[in-house]
Amino acid sequence: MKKINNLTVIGKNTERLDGMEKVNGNTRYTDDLPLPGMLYTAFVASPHAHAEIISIETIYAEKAKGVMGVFTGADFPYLIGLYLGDKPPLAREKVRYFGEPVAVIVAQTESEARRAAKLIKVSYNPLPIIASPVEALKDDAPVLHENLSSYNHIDAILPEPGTNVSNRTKIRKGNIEKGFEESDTIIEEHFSFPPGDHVFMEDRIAIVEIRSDDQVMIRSSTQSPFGVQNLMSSFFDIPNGKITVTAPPVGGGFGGKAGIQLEPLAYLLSKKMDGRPVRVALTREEDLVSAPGSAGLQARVRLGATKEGILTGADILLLFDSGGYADYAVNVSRAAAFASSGPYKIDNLKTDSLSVYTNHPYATAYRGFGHIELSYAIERAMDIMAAKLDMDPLKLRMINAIKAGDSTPTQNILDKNTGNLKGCLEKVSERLKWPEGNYLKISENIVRTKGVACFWKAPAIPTNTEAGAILTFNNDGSMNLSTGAVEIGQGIITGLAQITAEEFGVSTEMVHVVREIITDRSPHDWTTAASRTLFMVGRATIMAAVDAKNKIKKTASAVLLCSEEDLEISKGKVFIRDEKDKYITLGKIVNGYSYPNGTSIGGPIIGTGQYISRHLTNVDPQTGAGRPALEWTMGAEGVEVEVNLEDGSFKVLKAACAMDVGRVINPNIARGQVVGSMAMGIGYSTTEALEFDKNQKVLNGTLRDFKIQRYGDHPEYFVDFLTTPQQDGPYGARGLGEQGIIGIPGALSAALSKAVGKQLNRMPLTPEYIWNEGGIK
Amino acid sequence: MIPFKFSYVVPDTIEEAVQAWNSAEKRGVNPLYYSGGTEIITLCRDQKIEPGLIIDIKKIPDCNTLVQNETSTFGSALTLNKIIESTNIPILARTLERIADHTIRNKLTLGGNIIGRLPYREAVLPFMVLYGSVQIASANGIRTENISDFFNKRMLLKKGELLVNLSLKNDKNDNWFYKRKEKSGIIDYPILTACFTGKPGNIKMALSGSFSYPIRDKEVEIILNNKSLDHRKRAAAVVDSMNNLFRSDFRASADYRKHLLKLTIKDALIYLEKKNENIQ
Repeated sequence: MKKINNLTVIGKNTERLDGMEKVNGNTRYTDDLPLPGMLYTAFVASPHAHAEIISIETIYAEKAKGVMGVFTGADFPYLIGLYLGDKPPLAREKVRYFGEPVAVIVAQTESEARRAAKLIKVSYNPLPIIASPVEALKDDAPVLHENLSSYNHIDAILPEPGTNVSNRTKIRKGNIEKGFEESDTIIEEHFSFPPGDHVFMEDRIAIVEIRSDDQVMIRSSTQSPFGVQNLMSSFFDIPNGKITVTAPPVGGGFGGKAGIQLEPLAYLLSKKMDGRPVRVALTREEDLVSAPGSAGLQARVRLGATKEGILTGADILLLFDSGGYADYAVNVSRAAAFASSGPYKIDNLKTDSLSVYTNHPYATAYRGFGHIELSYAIERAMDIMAAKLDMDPLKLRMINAIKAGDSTPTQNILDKNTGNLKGCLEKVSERLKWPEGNYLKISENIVRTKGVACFWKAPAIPTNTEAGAILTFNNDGSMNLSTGAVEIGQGIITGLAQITAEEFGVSTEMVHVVREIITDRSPHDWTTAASRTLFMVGRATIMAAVDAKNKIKKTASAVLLCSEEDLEISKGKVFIRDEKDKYITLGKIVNGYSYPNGTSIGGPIIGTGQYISRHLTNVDPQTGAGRPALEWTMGAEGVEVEVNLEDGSFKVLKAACAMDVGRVINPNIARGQVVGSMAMGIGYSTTEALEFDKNQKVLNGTLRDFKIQRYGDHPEYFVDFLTTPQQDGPYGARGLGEQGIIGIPGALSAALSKAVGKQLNRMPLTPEYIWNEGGIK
Repeated sequence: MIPFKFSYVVPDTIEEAVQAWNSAEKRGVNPLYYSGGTEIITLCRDQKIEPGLIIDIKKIPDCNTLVQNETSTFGSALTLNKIIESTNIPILARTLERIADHTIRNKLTLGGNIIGRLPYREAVLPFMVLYGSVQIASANGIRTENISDFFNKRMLLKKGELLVNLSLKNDKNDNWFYKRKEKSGIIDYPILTACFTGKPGNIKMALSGSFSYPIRDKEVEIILNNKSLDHRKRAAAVVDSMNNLFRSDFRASADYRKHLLKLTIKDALIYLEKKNENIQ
């Protein structure tokens, strides 16, 4: 790695490499490259949240114009799942959520498919409905997955057959009884919020064809091309090498495209169509409801502290509303358990984190991966504790802020790469002018209040998470970087270009980053998610750069008749360090060097790099002890709001976030990630919630009714980065893509609770809810 | 995408439009008048409607009238943004500019907002409180109706009748008060839209969002103008008189809608009285 003091590209606001083509509409997303002979699909979805399927009449649809085939769950006897195989590609025998697909039409055009879909008649026998995790856990609750005991699953997931629990993760650290005995004050409270949705700009789509040599060719809007390859291989018993997945640039993922979604069905349909390409694409409405979103939560926190405000123990129950199927929720709930204390020193911790089946649209990974849920619970509990202790809530957090040497819920000791959480709190306090007070009466009806929260997250990743990088060169001396990282809008290709450019002492114009990830030629990569891509792929990229430079120097040392140690590479040349006039321009050497008489040596330089997560371990199933976390990015955030007590309406005036990221590779892009995640957090807390009627049918399944943040809604944003180095990160950097969303629900709830003088323990935070709890009546 | 084929015509005159409608109806072709199309497109995408003939009225001059005098007339095909930019009637501009967002208002039209399927129909409220009238075209010719007679939950158009334009009487001396509330953010359907005009003692009030359809009720206005009650009591009395009409849905409960209306009536009465005092 280069010396860190004279950076020329890292830390600069390099313009996004893909910016111009994106704003000009030239980017080729998955749906922008139609294949000859492609067939189209349309779905029929369940209007019931829980029902037996009695019959599906397909005869009229089969006869409709352009229709190539009509398929139902009966045609596809597979059970698919990331960690727990519980979901058929189309509902079989019963439906478990409103919007679950029960049939699919394959036709020559999309119009014909949609017309034919309306000709399908399904009859159902409604079944009793489970509307929440608490209901699902009652003794007399219907069991949504009667065959849970026979489902395949990975060892780390522990489903409880005969119940609606798809996984239970336990943390047993210290001695909880002792923890509460040592406390002077104990608080206990319940918290909840409903499921929501990612609302990425590009709806989900997968196109699959099967070549005549049986090679399965998948194009998909996915964050995880190699994940799709792996899962398809295991679901359908196809060797990995016979599956090629192409991941074009993605129009937003936020975790919703980090698993497997439409690909299995697209494959099965292509197989039925003799290998012809089949395009399975969702409308926005289908993406909102039929495809998975974010989990709901019901939580209970019991927290004990001394009268000085030192936390002594926490007993936490997190119930994740995972909906009709488990998907990612079994792991999301697990990751939440590992971080369930929040970034606080709690020596006695008992957590039970469950993913629970209900009759809601099911949940998948969502930005934060369980950390919004755990943070909402612990941050609300911290505020309630602060109120009971009559202590400033910021001070309570300062007192208990976790630091190097303290242990995590999985009993891992934080090392010297740990961020400065107190510094982050101080920064947020400064931005919000916290010392001036967090409650100000503006007029009879209007108050201004502030709330803060802390957050932390480590990537929730398998112990063998890996990344790779390949550098090849062009005759103009520029280089091509190929990695497995998908550009989902987070700016990764720009970040990687900056790292590469820094290594070579050139501008990013000399670095061409491959835009489409194809599993047969891109280096293997776990998944673009979990805020680990810059960290791990960045490390692999540096290694590839160093490897390439070494190989260049080897050839150059022969030409320049010197030892390799005397050589440097910068600004497009390889030269002798102390005799700079003895050089070779890179273009003349990177694909072979020719002497004046024609004799040639060397050959194409190919730099390779790799990275695998270091020293991660599995955890003990009884206590949670182990090391699942690679590096923690932590920080603080806060908001200032203005509330009208007459009707509960409010405006977020300011939102501040300070996090310790080690090093900022690109300030604008980093700020964009944090601001974007804060905006998403405000939406998550206030409007992005699914609404259900008493039969758990979704009422707001279109963008007319499911509202997200708009330009103009936004507060004044403050983003600060602290830079305690992550010594094993690229140039000392840590991940930061998700963290900004995590603390917003807690901070916003705190500010609004302060305004109405009553603890608000539910979301979404709507004016009606706020007014009901404490407005002027 | 709209997954079916349909015919599309662009008539130049009202007569052509009405004739196209009637002849299509006779042939069983299922015609639909179209101006902005935002609702039509959504309903067609979902296959909830299947028009066989779309009759685009945007080129008909009478549907694009924009005349502003003591009586002002606005064509049904005018986009909301066009009216907002051109009008000198503040309550009309204020009401229209809160509907949807700016980009969508380039497509939303006066007529479409009022006679579409969505129950809010906010654009009709200013017409309700400003002696509004509508011009209707049918196979029998063109006629004018008063809104007070011709709007009951919705505009009482018969099938095939075309809404040509709307008029209102603009009294520059008249005061007005407007309020809109939504569930969370301002770009959303309303849970309350209220237009008030007039002087204390003679205040007119038209409401949308609180109920399943817009309402202007002269009996309710008697309570609204009852000076023997103070503002709060009057507001409460008005709300009580309409008690069973309040809507409960996922945007807001009936109780919250009642509360918002009480607040709004109180604010309107105070404001209009103050304005009246200032003038005198």
